[in-house]
Amino acid sequence: MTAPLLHFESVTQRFGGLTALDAVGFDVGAGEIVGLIGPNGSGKSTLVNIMTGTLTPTSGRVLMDGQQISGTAPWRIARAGVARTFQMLRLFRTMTVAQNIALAMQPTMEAGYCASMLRTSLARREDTQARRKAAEMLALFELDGFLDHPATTLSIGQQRMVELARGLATAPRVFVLDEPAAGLSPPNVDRLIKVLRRMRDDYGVTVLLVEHVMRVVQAVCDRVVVLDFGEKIADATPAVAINDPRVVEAYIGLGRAKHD
Amino acid sequence: MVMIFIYVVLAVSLDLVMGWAGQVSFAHAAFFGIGAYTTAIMQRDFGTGFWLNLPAAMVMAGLCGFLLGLPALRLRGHFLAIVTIAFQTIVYLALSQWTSFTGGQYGIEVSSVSGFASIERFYYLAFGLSLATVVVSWLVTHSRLGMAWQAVRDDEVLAQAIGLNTTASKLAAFVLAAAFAGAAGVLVAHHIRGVTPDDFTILTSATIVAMVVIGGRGTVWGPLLGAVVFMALPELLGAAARYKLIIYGLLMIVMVTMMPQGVFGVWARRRQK
Amino acid sequence: MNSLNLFLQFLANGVVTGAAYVLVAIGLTLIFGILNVVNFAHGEFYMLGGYAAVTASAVLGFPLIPTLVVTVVFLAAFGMAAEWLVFRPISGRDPNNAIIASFGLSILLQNGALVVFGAQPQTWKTDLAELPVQLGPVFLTGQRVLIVLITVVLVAALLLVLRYTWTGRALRAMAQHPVIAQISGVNVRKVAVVTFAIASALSGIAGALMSSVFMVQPTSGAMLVMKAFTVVILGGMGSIGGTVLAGLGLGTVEAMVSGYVGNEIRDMIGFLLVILMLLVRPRGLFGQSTERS
Repeated sequence: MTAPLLHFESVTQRFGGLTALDAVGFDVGAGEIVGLIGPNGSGKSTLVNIMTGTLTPTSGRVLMDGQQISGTAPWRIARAGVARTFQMLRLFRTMTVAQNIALAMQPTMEAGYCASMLRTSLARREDTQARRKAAEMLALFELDGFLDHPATTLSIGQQRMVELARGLATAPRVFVLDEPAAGLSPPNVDRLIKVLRRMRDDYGVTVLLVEHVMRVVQAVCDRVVVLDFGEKIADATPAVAINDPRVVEAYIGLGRAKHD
Repeated sequence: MVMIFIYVVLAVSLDLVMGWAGQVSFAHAAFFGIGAYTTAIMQRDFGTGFWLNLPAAMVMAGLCGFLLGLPALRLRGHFLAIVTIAFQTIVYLALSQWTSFTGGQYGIEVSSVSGFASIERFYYLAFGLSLATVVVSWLVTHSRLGMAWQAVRDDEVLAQAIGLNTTASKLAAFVLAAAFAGAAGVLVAHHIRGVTPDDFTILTSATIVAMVVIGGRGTVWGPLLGAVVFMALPELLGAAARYKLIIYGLLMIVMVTMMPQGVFGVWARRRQK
Repeated sequence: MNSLNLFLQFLANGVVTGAAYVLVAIGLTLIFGILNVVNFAHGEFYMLGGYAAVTASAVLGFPLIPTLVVTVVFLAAFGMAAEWLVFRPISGRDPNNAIIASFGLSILLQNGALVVFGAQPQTWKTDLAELPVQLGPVFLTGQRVLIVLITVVLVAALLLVLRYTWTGRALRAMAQHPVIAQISGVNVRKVAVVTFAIASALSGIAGALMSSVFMVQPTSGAMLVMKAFTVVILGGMGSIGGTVLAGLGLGTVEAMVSGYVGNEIRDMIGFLLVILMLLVRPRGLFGQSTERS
């Protein structure tokens, strides 16, 4: 068995007297889509913030390919190959869709700031390639016409797709999705499910998916990890986990989780 | 006229920090002064002239910008502003109290630039520097660094999440701006043939901030416009020039409350419609 | 004078200056703690307090207490006007704007005072200023003792008001949780006005009292506000106890440095301390964690 791509090792987070995460540990294998679910307040956001560097765990660590990424600056983790989307949907408001996506590729480019200022051929070539990649990504998400539109002129559903395109364009090792289905209409949720499947099947992206919308979780996740009050209470395939009595109990009869 | 060019350099360079990197700095006059005193002291102690002193002063000022920015940029908005004010004040106090090195309140005399002693010739020198500043500023703000700054302004959390080292980009703005302020300092030292601490006070810093804010932060022409208007203001006011500072203060308040994008920003927006 | 007496004298002088710092800094920390606004013009309220006292007594002939009352009223009104005209229009937007606007206000007031009152330093002449007071080996004037006494009284009064009155509780609620405070019915506008009124009045009193000891000029506020910021940062933004401690501490340290080492670096000490504190522990001794902003 190959070593897991992502390894959460006994991650604990305390805020003063409150324990948000209690020795949470699990693995994510390369090419898997792992769901992270649990009722509100179970610690999902905290775990995501630790994974992406916004928080440093009180104890425990997160390893990617055997290297520790927890406790390092968010930009370093991003450059190590971790892309993310945000629950609150974040895009650069004063930029176009193409610029948003191209900018995400900038940190991995060869030409530095000086080369870009002097407009060297390498810099210009990379810029052209980035733009082409952005167009390619948008085509994947059926948004080709919007390349040069200001990002804010798109609908919420479309903006979420742009967020996904932004992450995918960087060919990340791990893609952390924070409630991508939130606020999406049912047809857009279908689209999201299709896109997520393509990301795994065609692009081999490893995904950590935080989600409340059970339909998505059941449709795409290879496994789910269930949190409740900061503890891991299940780690199995969606079908098994959802029927686990502890999980049912945590959701008070699964009525809490949204069925679309 | 030469002073207008000098303030163009100061305002355009400060805009890199304020308009582009989105930080507030009241320390710009300190770097202006560091540049000026560097050339004065080098000329006094080593006998070197303008052409060697200019790069030396830029390096010196840039280095100080780095030393200030490195710790200061870890802080948020108002804390950063306070640290820049503290730095500005410390530099002023050092310049005026360290009499043995800096000549204290009396300052140091500086000779003119050989070959550029006449006012018209110096005019070209000043023009050249301000042109260079504008060009470099344009190149930088339309490069990847400029995009990084725009990203930080739009959403710093997102900028970090996509892998941009936002602190480093802010630091770059600081250092670049400081270096150009230092260059302006060299120019002013040779122009008025001397340096004294009272040319580089917090008020000087505030004036440059006002130029940038009123002209329009984050635009190419805004700070330029601000510098020209401010320098022309005493001429326009004539007898009322004593009230110059009162008007500066009033303008800063009015601009920020009613026209935060500055004069040029408003004009540019109108043109888009 | 033997060395212990010298030390005690420096200490006493430091406490007097420190008391003034405390009064001014408390206003700053209130404005920041409750309204999350930084007011660079705060030193000018101090300066205007000095001029108010000078005008009231020299021009209008008021004795001590009425002069102080006039100062308080005038400065409170001025503070409220500043809040209404300068800070309210930009509240909620980019905090850099408040920094620039208040700096503009500071320049406006300084130079306005220069035009109105002239550059010549002026003093508020009171009988207490001449009255010698001796506490053990330490020599002070009545006025200096008054500064300390009034500071103690005002700080105590402020703490009581904050703890036991409706307004006080509203202020504390805003400081801790602005959104929840609003939902609970706290009138944000009223809080802003009251906070500015109190802060300006405190600054004004300090300015008035100090103008009888040290003279007032248009630039009096400029250096002082930086000292006040130093105190607020060292003590911790939003912490009254921290402000008191840091204010007295800074006054004392400055007096010691000035007395034993020399006057030139006295002013630098505060700035160096500020930079040091911001690097090592930005929240100050007792402040809330800076995550809050």
